[in-house]
Amino acid sequence: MPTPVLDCRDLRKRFGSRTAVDGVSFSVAAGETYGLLGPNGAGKTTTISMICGLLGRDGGEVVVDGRPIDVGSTDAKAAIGYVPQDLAIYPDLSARENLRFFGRLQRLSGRVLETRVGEVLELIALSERADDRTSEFSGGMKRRLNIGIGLLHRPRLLVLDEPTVGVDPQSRNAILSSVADLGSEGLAILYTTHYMEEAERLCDRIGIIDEGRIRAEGTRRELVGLIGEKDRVTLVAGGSLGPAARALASVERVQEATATDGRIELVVEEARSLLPRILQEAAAAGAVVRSVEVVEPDLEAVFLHLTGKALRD
Amino acid sequence: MTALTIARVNLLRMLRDRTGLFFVFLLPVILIVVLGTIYGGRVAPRLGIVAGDRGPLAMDLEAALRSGDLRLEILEVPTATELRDRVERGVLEVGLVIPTGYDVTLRTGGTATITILGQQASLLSALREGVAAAVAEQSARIRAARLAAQRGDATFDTALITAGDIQGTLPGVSVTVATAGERLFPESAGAFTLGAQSQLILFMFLTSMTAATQLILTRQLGVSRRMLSTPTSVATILAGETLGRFAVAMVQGLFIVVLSAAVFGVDWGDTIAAGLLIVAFALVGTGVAMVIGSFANNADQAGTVGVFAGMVLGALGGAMVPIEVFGEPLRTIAYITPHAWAIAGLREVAMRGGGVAQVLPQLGVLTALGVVLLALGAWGLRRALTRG
Ligand SMILES: Nc1ncnc2c1ncn2[C@@H]1O[C@H](COP(=O)(O)OP(=O)(O)OP(=O)(O)O)[C@@H](O)[C@H]1O
Ligand SMILES: [Mg+2]
Repeated sequence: MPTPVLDCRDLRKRFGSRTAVDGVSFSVAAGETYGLLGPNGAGKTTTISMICGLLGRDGGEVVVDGRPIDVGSTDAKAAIGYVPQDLAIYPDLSARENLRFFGRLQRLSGRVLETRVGEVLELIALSERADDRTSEFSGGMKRRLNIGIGLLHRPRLLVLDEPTVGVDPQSRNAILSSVADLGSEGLAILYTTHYMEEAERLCDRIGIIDEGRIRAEGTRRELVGLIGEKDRVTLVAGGSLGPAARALASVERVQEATATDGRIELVVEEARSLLPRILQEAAAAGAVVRSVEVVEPDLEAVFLHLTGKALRD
Repeated sequence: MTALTIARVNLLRMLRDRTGLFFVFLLPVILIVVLGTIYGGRVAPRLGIVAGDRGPLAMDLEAALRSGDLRLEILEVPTATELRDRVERGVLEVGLVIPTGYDVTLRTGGTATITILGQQASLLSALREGVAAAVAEQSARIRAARLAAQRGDATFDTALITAGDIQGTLPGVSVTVATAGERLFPESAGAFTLGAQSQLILFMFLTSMTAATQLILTRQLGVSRRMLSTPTSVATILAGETLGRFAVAMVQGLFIVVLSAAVFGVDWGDTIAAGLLIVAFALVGTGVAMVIGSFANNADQAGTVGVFAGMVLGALGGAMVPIEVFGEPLRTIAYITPHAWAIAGLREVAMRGGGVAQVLPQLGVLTALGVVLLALGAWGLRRALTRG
């Protein structure tokens, strides 16, 4: 594995008698999107604040792009693009002025700055409203600008703290797909959320965090595997269902196959990869498949299993 | 340089705020005009009279003053000592003493002396003319009456009644003009000068207080935290925010100085001395703003505390009503406020021709206070920024 862009080890933070982060370690590689999934108060923001050098820590180490990060490590912070959970923009300045201001703080200037501001405005689809005060923006537009500011200086690591909170479904979709694009361009992304669907959709790997600790980590598949639940596949079909079910039961990684009234129910490992094979076998055995439904156990179930509580209250 | 970027954004935001603009640019002008008009004496000055004599001639003079075209508000004061005190404190603009035995002295052919007290020379000379006119009119009749009485045509009283129209040159009354105590507002103090100095101090401070609210909002908006996520050190952020607030106070200060000088002819005196005082006071305002902005919990709280501080300190420090109007011990207590020091310094420079050397005490006090407050504010902001 190449050296990770972000490597944090054993992070700890206490606020008075409350331990907010209690030994968090993980790393994120270039081009990888890592999700921190956890409920309110799990310690996501506190972890991120230590990673971005906003908050002193009680223990642990953060290395970004090969350089240690601390509150005082000014230069090393240039590798990070931080998008805070709460909007951090000046409401009385325009989108362009906000971008320019933070661009200057990122040590951009002159033509480079102007070009980059233009590009980011384009990227967050705010070129048309660039010179309006942000106080006149919709919630989704403000969120987009909030993210755009984090991208100005082309960071190596993009840290997004619940970027879709309070955003309408449409803007949310737009945000998610642009994050996905950024990930595919080679940016290392750390994404926190308490929305399971977002973590599932975006993240290559997910750390499940609760009460300041990472309870489990891995790909969605690995996490689901932890609780030993299998995928369920339902084929709605006509033709000879009995023989088809028997044929399917003998396929490797298919654990159960039963024919019922107009459908075949299967319990399989990794339905996604097995699906072509299943359809092929069913057809060969004389079943005419009309529709397929796959139900994979979700992270909600994993979270419940690991912590004994629901992800959202 | 990053500090300058942060400072500049602060200024930009101040210029964007429309209500803020009213308070910064319009209200001071309105108040300078209003107060300039009042101090300029277009409102009736108060004249205190000590009537040391209740004789008909004394009463007659008083009546002449009341009905004359001086447009004075006339108040009776029991003793000359009290009159002097009130004039010194500015409760009365001018005082007039009609001496004991005025009536008798005049009837017996002697010369009675009327004393006029006042602080402002311009006011005194105007009043002197008015009083002199009333006195001249009376003395003309007295002289004629004396003449008539000497001829034995009539008694002094009947002669006085009939002698009203006779003109003459023999004076019976002399008028003495005196300045009460130390001359507080010398002649050079134009109509607007007094108002402009207190306005400057009052508004520089109040404007700094709105900057405190801005600082809180910046913190609440998470913008300062975001700054910390960029390659910008805590020290630079502190410097930028401080410089921003200092710039805001200075813009306010320079606006009032330049405008009042250009439009209302206010003379601020020695440029360097006045400039240094303004810079020192801007430091104090910035310091207070940083302290409030770092320690207050929310913008509303900062706003309330800031305006309250601005008003109370302004009132106590003589930025609303001149400190000279206060009695003791308030006049001494006033010097716990930076306002009183700043105004005293500015007056020294503008009205008594003071230079840097003459205002060193004020500069020292203001600078020291400013530095202490700034250090405290920077410490508080650093704490607020890095605590999470
Ligand atoms: N500045 C602070 N002072 C005291 N306690 C704090 C502070 N910041 C966070 N905490 C506490 O630390 C714990 C973790 O908070 P954190 O904000 O990291 O959670 P989170 O996972 O980001 O939650 P959310 O999803 O609600 O944003 C919480 O119990 C919180 O109350
Ligand atoms: Mg959070």
